[in-house]
Amino acid sequence: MSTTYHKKSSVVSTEIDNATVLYTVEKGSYFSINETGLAIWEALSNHPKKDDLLNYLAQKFNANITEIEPDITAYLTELLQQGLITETHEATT
Amino acid sequence: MRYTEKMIRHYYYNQTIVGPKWLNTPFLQTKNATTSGASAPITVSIINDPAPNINFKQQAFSAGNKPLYFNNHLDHIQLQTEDIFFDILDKNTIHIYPGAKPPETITHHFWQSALLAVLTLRGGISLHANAVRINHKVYLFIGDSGAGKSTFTSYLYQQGYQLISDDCSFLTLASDGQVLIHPGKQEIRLYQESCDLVGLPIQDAYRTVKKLDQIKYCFAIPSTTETSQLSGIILIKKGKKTALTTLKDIEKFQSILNSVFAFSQPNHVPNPTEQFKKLTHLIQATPAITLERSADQNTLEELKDLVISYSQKEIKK
Repeated sequence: MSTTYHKKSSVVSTEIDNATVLYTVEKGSYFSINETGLAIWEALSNHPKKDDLLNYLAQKFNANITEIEPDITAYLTELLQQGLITETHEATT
Repeated sequence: MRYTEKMIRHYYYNQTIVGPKWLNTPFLQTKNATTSGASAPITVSIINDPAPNINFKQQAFSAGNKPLYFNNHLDHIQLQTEDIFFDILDKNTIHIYPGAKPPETITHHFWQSALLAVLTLRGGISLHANAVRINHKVYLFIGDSGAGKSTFTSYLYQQGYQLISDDCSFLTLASDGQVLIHPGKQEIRLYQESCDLVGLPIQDAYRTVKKLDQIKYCFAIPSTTETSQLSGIILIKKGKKTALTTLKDIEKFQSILNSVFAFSQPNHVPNPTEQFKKLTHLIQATPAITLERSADQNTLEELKDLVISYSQKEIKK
């Protein structure tokens, strides 16, 4: 099963001084994210498939996929719960 | 009750409003109309028919103790409070279905809610904030209700500084990105305790309003008709001591966002993405500080000195 994540079009990001804020237009709620969170958020645009995303981030942060996978999954789950992204699942052949 | 429409024109937030005479209040400037300004007049009509039966699905919230119901669309807004229905058909046209309410009640909700909704449709940003001109620069004072915005800015006014707006301030962005502030209503509203502190005798109040069962005294004040550039934002909050610090990062974002009327209520912003971009620009372009004040109200002079000194340093930069 392959998972693809989609950023919601109703979420806008903005930089305020040294912080990055994600704002959900639908809910009127906002979240402050750190540098790593921002890197993942930005990577989702070009690497929406989870496997690709993990590969890309492992290279970017010079780490093993197995090492970063739990943290990335937890972060993506948080983004899903907060309604900032959606996910679709496809059966792998 | 039938309402007659003696059409006159009012100026408020630098907007021309054409509507029934009783919508005016004694402190508003009334002039002969001109449509030579940048904005088209806002035309207000009273509809004496029963209000359309609208199902308000979106959440209600309180406007001065009264529930206010909103339906927001991209290009028009409907709102209802105390059985008065405001149908804001577009950015130039308001239809008021007054029900059985008297002119004073309608007038109150018109200025408090309907006009702000039109200004949002016109692409501006309305904030719960006061503004004062200090050393030729205009500063916006934000903060929670009860933080002391009106008390402090009224104190500055009493010390000779020009009050641009009280309680509600209206901003727009110029084409070159400058943040502009428009003059607000020419009125200060204070509880008696604050009147005593800043030296405004309550017998000089031209009217009173009730808020949370407490009386607020309303004073007419001379203001300006000029639009000015906004120089800074000052967050007033209660603390243990008197202090001034830079307001930045997420706290800056949070404080300013929470002060914007439309954004303090989710789902009540027409075209929220566009509004958010404007708001982001405002936050990024405007320096901000936190002015902490101790619970002791007798620190107004000390607070004034801090703000004046901050303003002088900004000029030297």
